Amino acid sequence: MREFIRRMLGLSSSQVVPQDGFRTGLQAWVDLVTGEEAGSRTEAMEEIIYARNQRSTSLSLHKLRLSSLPEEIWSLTSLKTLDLSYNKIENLPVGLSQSCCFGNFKS
Amino acid sequence: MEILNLSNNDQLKEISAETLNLPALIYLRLAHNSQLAPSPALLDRLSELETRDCYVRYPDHFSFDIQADLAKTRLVQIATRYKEENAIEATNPISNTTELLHRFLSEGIKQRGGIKGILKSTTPTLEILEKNPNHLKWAEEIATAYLDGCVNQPVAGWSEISALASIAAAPTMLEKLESAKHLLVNDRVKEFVSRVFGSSQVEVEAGNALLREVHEKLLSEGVITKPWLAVPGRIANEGTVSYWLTPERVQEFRDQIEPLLQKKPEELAEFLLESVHCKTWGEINFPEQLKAINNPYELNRAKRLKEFEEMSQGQDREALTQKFAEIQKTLEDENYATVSEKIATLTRDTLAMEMRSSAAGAVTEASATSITANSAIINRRISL
Repeated sequence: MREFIRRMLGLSSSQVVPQDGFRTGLQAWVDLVTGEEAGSRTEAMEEIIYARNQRSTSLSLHKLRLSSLPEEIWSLTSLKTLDLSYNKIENLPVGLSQSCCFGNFKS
Repeated sequence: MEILNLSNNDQLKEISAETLNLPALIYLRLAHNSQLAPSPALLDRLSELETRDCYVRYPDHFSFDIQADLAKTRLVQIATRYKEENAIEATNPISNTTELLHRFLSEGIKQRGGIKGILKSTTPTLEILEKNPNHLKWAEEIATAYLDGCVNQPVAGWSEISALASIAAAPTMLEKLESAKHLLVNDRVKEFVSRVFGSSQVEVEAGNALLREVHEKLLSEGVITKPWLAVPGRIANEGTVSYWLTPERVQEFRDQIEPLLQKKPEELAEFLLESVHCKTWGEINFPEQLKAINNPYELNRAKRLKEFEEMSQGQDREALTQKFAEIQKTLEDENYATVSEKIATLTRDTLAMEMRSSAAGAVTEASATSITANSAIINRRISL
């Protein structure tokens, strides 16, 4: 089953399959809206999952017309660059400062 | 998190200070967030980030100083006049120059010694642009090249626009050529610094700092008597290049530009005409004459392209597009050659005329001095 999910997500055998809670949380965020934004959120969700699995240092969600961000984004501890430009974001959760930066303290 | 780009989120109304508690942040972009409220807590946090050497790109409507706001409004008014005079649609923004000025007046203010000094280097250039809003045409092109990086890019961009503005403001060709030394030294600074740093991020910091040092040196030596406009003062993140900017290095550069500074006006003119600034030089100094060339060119271009379209009916679209681009390029090259030649002729003729009248003036002055001296001798003899 785990191998099947890996293949579905395009992961190699050494990569971690996202935990259910992570994916469920993202899916719940996608399901909050309908229509055009639901499509954008699905695209964003895929990017976020990919970034998490690859331990990417950068993530671009620009020009997706997002009105909010999923809290899960802040658990991407390897991120150094986050591009959220050209969206319709109304609020930024405080979680941004509480999680994803701790690995990258500057001296 | 080191880089966070939140620009162009026009629904974003609030960012709590806690959200930006990002100790490793080195670049925060908030440009064009037109509804973001500049709350005191947010401004304090942004200021704190800047103190920690984080570049912050502020939204255009954030206000830090009433004089700075007035300067920005002044440029917007100049842009409005430019658009009216040139029948450009009001919705078409002169966005690069205004954005450059906004960044020049908002980023890294404390590190650059405070807003008062920065404003001083803004006013003369704005006055020149105000006298002739058409200067925005070339200013806009210059500004485009200086919007990507940190605050030192807009500082370098404003310095270059100011160098060109001072050429525009100079009343005679001789004075224009004297003013052009700022522009040409600027070019040499860029060459010198890029040889050392390549495309490193600190290249522009080094360039701004070197320009400031050599400018001070030239003033103290009396090589230039009038300070150049908008030469950077204190520079943001100068610490990153201070190890490199030794007095020996400044002297080395100073020695390298000696031949440039020693050029006679006619040599300087030829040098400038051969440089990348030739077209801008023409636009600044001979706008009417260039219009006389460009208008028939535009008509000819439209006519020839229409002919080509008619001839090419039914042909392969891709091949057609390529051929079309080639024709456009040929026409542009032809026009550029004509324009460059015209600029060269006008520059040489104006300079020659000024030098002749200057020489005649010198002769007249010398004659007058001689007559006065002779009269004095005669008077003395009479009195004896």
